[in-house]
Amino acid sequence: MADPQHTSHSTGLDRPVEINQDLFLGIAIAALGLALTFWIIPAQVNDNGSFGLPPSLAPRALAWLMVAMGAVLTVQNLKLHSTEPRRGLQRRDVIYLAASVLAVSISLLLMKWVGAWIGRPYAGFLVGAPIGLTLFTLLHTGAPTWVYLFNAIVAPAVIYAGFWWGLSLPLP
Amino acid sequence: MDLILSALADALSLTTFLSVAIGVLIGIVIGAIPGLNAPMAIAVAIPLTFTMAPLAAIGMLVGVMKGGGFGGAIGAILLNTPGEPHSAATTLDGHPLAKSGKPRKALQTALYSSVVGDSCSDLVLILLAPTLAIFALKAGPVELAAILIISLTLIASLSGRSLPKGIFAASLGAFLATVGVDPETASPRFTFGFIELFDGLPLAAVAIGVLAVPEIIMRLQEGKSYRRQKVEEVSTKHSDDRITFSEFRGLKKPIFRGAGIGTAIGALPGLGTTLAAFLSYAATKRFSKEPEKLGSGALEGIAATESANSAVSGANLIPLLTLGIPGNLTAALLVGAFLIHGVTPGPLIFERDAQLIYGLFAAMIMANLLVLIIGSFGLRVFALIVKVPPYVVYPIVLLLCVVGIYVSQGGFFAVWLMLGFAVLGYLMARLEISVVCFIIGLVLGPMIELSIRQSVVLLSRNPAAIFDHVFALVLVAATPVVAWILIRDRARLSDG
Repeated sequence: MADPQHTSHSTGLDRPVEINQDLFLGIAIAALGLALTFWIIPAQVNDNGSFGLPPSLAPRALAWLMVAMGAVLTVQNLKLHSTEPRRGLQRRDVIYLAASVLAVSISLLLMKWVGAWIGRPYAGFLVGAPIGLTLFTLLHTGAPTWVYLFNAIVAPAVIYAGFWWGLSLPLP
Repeated sequence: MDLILSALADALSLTTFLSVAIGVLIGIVIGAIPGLNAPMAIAVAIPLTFTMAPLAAIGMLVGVMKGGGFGGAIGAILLNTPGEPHSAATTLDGHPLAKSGKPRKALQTALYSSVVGDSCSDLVLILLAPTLAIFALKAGPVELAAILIISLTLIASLSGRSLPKGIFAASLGAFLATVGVDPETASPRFTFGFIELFDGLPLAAVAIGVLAVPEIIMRLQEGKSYRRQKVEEVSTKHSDDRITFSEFRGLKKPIFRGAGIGTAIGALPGLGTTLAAFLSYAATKRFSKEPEKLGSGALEGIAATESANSAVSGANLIPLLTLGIPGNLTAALLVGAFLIHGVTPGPLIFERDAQLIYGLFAAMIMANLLVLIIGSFGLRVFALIVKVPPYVVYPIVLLLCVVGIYVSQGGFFAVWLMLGFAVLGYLMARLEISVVCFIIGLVLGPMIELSIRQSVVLLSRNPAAIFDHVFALVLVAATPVVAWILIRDRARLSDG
């Protein structure tokens, strides 16, 4: 049986993102390490004035370790012809992840802005949470109608009340 | 003695008692939800502890840890769905017994064995940790650096399928631990101009981001493929569906054997709960008078696995409290909680925060009793939790993650960070990169950096002084050898 991580015979959403994911992962890890070493670390860490070891020493050592591990992973997968089936990352995973991030982002933005828009502080949660919970439930795709009502009305109300009166912590 | 009595009084205060009880309850409930487990429960509970006193906060998290251990067994027994790899061993006999009409008996055996195993390892911790800390105090930064490096190598070698991925995860975690103000020069590192990052990345946001949120997304992703599984009913109809005292007394050998195995394995960083559970099961099968019964609903099998995997949790605190080294994910999250409350785990903890630590020991014993009491009385209620469909539970848990981080960090910045780390955690899970190594790297990173910097400063004036640190030299030399042996045997030892 062919390893789905190393072949791409299937089509559509089940298709693996790359032909050999670990090979490309190795290259990506090595590239990350190099980007950290030559770009991010010099831009974000100031070694001037250090009296002992420079503050960039540990980040640099760890970035080089990433380069080394990326290289090892790449070399291992140049030679590897595994027959062991693995699931790996698929296109549908990437799409689903993007949809989930979008749902959480919409909820967060509503929580942040609605209170300011309508001029009532602490009201954002009352709009953002029901919409967020509806979107999260929608992501499941298999929930019956009553669950949407429960998650959109009962759950946010209980959470809001619990934090407001139970823990004396205002929500956004 | 006065110190111990004061610590006991702290532990028995109403606040601490209620915190531990709520922690146990949260742990059992979250542990019982299929797909969620004790480390996730701790990650979700950390934000709730921000405003608490240190003992109440850490006691609550210890309660979550202990409750989560038993909660995992509920899903394993009633649904045949282990929430964590180590619970897979419990399903071997737990589920067949539940299917044969004795789910209550299976759950009671798991509960009692779990409490006994946990209590045994807690006693070992209480007796050993202060003594070991005295020895650990003699270790300087050179020795500490060597111990930390070999511990991280052990953990990276044993976690996941690939060593390069394990080391990458640990180094990425350690790299991200350098975000914030450098402790020696006070110059900011990787803050990108955000003042919120000057104190470093908030552990609760990172932990919930990489641990809990990706799991929720993956569970929601199952979508319509979710089919309601048959749950074995816990009823009072069958009179023989209860474990009798004589039956439980007959289990003392597998329970104490499991507790011994779990304690020994838990005291070593990285070996993990799964190994303890399966080793204990294998040992019980070997010494059983009726080995053919194991796997078909034998009480011995449940007792052996549950006592072993619960014993790991107490023993894991031995390296944590004596050296500051977390042996597994749960311990790593506890280190984070200690640091949030201004307590640094390590040998000095017995000098600086002795009252807190002895109070914690008392809270651990109290948590075991509460697991027993709450677990016994709530057995039927907790059994219902596994029936709650995922489309109800996971959206609400996701919102609680957002709310918890917002409240604990006082703003949206940390919530966006959590979301970013959720993306990272999801990709890591799909690409089989160990999240355990990442979190432990994140927690150990600052300690390793500090001890290496101190060692280099110490040795820079006289490099030959390295030969005065024979123990450190032996450890450094042993690190690649141990790593090679573990990699060779990883398939057998790994937590998966």
